[in-house]
Amino acid sequence: MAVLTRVSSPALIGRGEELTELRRVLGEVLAGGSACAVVAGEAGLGKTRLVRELLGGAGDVELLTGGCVEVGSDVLPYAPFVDVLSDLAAREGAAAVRALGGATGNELARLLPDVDDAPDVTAASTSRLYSALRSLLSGLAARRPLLLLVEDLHWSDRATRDLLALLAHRLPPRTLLLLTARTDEADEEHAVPRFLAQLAAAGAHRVELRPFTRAEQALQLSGIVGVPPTPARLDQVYARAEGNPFFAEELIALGAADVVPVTVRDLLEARVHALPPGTRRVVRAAAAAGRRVEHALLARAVDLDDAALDDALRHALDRHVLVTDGRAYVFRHALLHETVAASLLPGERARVHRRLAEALAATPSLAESRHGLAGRIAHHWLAAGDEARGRRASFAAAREAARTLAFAEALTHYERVIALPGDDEDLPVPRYRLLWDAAEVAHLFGAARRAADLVQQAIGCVDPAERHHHAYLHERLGRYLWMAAEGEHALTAYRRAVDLVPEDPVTHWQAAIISGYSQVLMLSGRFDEARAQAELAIDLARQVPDGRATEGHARNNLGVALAHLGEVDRGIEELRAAARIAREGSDDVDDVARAVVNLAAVLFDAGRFPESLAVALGGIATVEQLGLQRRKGIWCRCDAVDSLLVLGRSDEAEYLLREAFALHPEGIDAVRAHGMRGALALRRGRLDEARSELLSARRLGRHVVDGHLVLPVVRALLETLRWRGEWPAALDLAAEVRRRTWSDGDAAYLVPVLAAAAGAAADGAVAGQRAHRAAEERRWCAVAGELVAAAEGATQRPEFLLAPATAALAVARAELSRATGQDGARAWSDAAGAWQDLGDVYQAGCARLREAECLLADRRRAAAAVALRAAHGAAIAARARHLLRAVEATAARARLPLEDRPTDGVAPFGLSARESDVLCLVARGRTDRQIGAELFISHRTVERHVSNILAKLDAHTRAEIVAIAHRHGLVAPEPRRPVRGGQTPATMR
Amino acid sequence: MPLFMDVHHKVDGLTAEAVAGAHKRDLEVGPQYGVDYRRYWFDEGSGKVFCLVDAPDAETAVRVHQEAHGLLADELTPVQEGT
Repeated sequence: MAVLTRVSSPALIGRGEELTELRRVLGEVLAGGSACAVVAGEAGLGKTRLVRELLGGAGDVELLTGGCVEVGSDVLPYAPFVDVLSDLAAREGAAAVRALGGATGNELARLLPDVDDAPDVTAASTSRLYSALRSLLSGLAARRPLLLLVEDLHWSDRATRDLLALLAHRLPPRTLLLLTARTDEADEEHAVPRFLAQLAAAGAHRVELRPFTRAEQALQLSGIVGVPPTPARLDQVYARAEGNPFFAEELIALGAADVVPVTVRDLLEARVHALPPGTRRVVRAAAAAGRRVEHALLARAVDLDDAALDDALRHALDRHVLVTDGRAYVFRHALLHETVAASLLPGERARVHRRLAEALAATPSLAESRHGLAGRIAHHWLAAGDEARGRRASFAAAREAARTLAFAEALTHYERVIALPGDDEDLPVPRYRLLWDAAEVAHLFGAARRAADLVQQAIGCVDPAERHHHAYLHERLGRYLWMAAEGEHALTAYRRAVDLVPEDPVTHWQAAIISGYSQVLMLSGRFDEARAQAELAIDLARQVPDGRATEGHARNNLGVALAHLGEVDRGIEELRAAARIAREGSDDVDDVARAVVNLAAVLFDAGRFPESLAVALGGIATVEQLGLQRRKGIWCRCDAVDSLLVLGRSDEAEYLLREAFALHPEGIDAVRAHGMRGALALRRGRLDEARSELLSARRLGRHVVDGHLVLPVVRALLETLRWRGEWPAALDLAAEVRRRTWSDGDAAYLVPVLAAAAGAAADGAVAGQRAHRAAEERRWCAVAGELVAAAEGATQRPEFLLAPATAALAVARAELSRATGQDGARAWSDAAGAWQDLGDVYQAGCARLREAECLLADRRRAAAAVALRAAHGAAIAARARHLLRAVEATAARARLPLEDRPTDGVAPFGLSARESDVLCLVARGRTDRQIGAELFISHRTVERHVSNILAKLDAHTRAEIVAIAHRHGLVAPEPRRPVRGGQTPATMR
Repeated sequence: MPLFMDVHHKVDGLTAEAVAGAHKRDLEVGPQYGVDYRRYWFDEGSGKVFCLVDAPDAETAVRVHQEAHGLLADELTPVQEGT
């Protein structure tokens, strides 16, 4: 049979819908939008083909293409970005590319051929690189629509995926990020499928390719051969290829062989076997080098003269096994490459890899790109069985990967160096330094447990005479252990570091150790110790030349500690100073973010919600800019949601929460985000949803010990359970939480929990009273009393208790009076006022409802009407359905109007309903400010109402008003009809 | 020479290019047997193809199809040309 002139069908077959979808997305991008699209499918279904078809008709767009690359069992870090930037640099010059990268454009050097010019790696580098890439894409997209194509995502490294996720989250206008990925590639952690699912959840379009139908496969065969297939031929191909276009192509390329291959592997092997022997050898050597191999490198790997090599390659090209793009040879399909690579004999494999390693090591210019070169050399040495050289090369590869911020790959290489037997004299650093570097890389990658193990080994082999290093390694151990959620061990490690570090002369080592120690103390809620250590660290840091960043770090710790020690304003000052220092140009983006997050938290805990909200909203923008939104963006959004909920702005909260979930919260972020979703649902009265979200948060956070994170979730869950009438469950939950030991520093979060629990006990007491079960009533009263006492004793220093916790304490006391049946109106009014002062409309509304119930029990109807109206207004303002229903139920039972208008014809003296409300409160001796708080209006409005009343009643003083009001029965309770019970049932739905 | 019209009820993978390719092969193979596939009609949607062939006999007409591409007609009818 004649050699086919083509191996693929010229027309695209069976992908009409998929192409239409992609063209639609592209159309939106060309019109100014931005989008991310994923083309997914099994190997050989034609992902690349579909994309090529799309690009063919794309018109005037800037196309940037990069592919993910496999090197042995590893992948090449950042390979697609290296492709893209190298192409750009070749077209426009490296300097222009860096300029497009904006303020942090120098970071792009990591991915450009001049990698040696890249700045040193710091904790900030990743986000600076992200900023530079984003700026680059924005710049390019501003010129003309930009299409960034990243192929073979199934071979992507984590660093590449992280960057892509960041970019996809906020693509510049007129940008399409197009990804292709194989879905049948098994990776142990399912990292790629998870990544794709996350992209899809965040709004990426997904085009899933399916195998051809028989009719489509027939069209494909027609297209390739130029003649329709006979039914027998079609059956034969379709039965083997099962609609996979690539396999069909290979079957046809194999020709009308008598033996029909049974498996794909057989098929591809048969294809290679059909090549002349010389070509087979060359193709096998090429496969050892990778899917793509440079011509000059291949020439060094095989023992052939130029003519023989060219002849051999010519056959491989004619038979469509290899293709070339002018610079290198590429296997036509990855599966073909894999089949050939697997067919190498052991001796042949070692020989070829050795030649490749020697060639690349001796002549680096043989490689198309210097990126990943050290990794390639290491791979070839190890595949050749040369462990000593493989080890040295792996060390170089680890450093190279770390320089390009590919921490996962760097860790893989370091782990190999550590595991391989070898002489440490071979390496340029002592063993403890190797372990330390590996630990730091593991930490930056997020593998805290492994980082701690590695640094422990480093401590085991460092010479104690290296006193600063010896001490500092313990500091690192403490840090990693803390990140691994081993708080107690972390503190022990820090104490050891403090003991070991030389104190004379003062060094930045010592300052950093003390500051780190103060941070862990602060995080553990040991604010007194944290404060002392932070102050010491600041003092030390100011004595050393390079201590500015450490000073900022320590001020951050000091700020939080001070706020919890009653010095809120000073704490806030310190935190603002810390943020300033962090921004000064010290590279530590983590410290900038930490200052923002801590400041928002302190302001929130202090009840300064509008300020906390402003900081959190600013923080969202800041962390976005720093490329940290995966790490801190969720947290900042939850901080903002927290304040928005208190301020009754639940629509905005809902929006931010959706954004937070689009960032795929994990770990403590997930606990927080679900907790916030539950709190939002509670405040809006969606009680089923609240319960399930809060239970999710509890489940996700079952190993978390941080009260700041866990206790607000518990509180919201307790309140939800009470609204659902499940007060016994609430009390069980409270008992469970109380079995844990909480530190003094947790009081701010524990008091509201205990207040809610006291409420549940009061619900129990009221239920017992209504059922005339005195024993039960007494029992729950006692529990309530005990809970209130616990709330009062939650801190040794109640004078330091922050305002919201103090308001919660007032609620706890009011709940106790509700349980014991004492007059609680005053207590509830105080609590409502406290919430009102803080701006928490919803909590104030809840307290007003309770106040109204107490007043009704006392038959003080007019005052109750005022309280009920206030609760009504609050429920509407906070859009709290459940509170609104409860208020309406109480009002209906008491036959009190809620509407803010005269209900009984013309009111005496022509007073408006509002004026009647104000008059009623004036008669009760309230000040204008108190009246404003109760009626949810400003005291100036109250003043205006009072002067109107004076005019209408023709009075001159407040005392006169009160007298007239009493004389005309304007404030007296109207015993029109007795109020049944005078209390809402404990179950409010 | 007798004139025949054949009918292919359903050709899988039928496209205008592919059927033209097949016809081209008929024209390449035909002369050695004294067969002339004169014209053809087709419908892409249903896969139906009609060929008008000048051949010594039905068997020879079929033989050319077989050698050229293997796509055999389902029906073959002697026809007369009208005006």
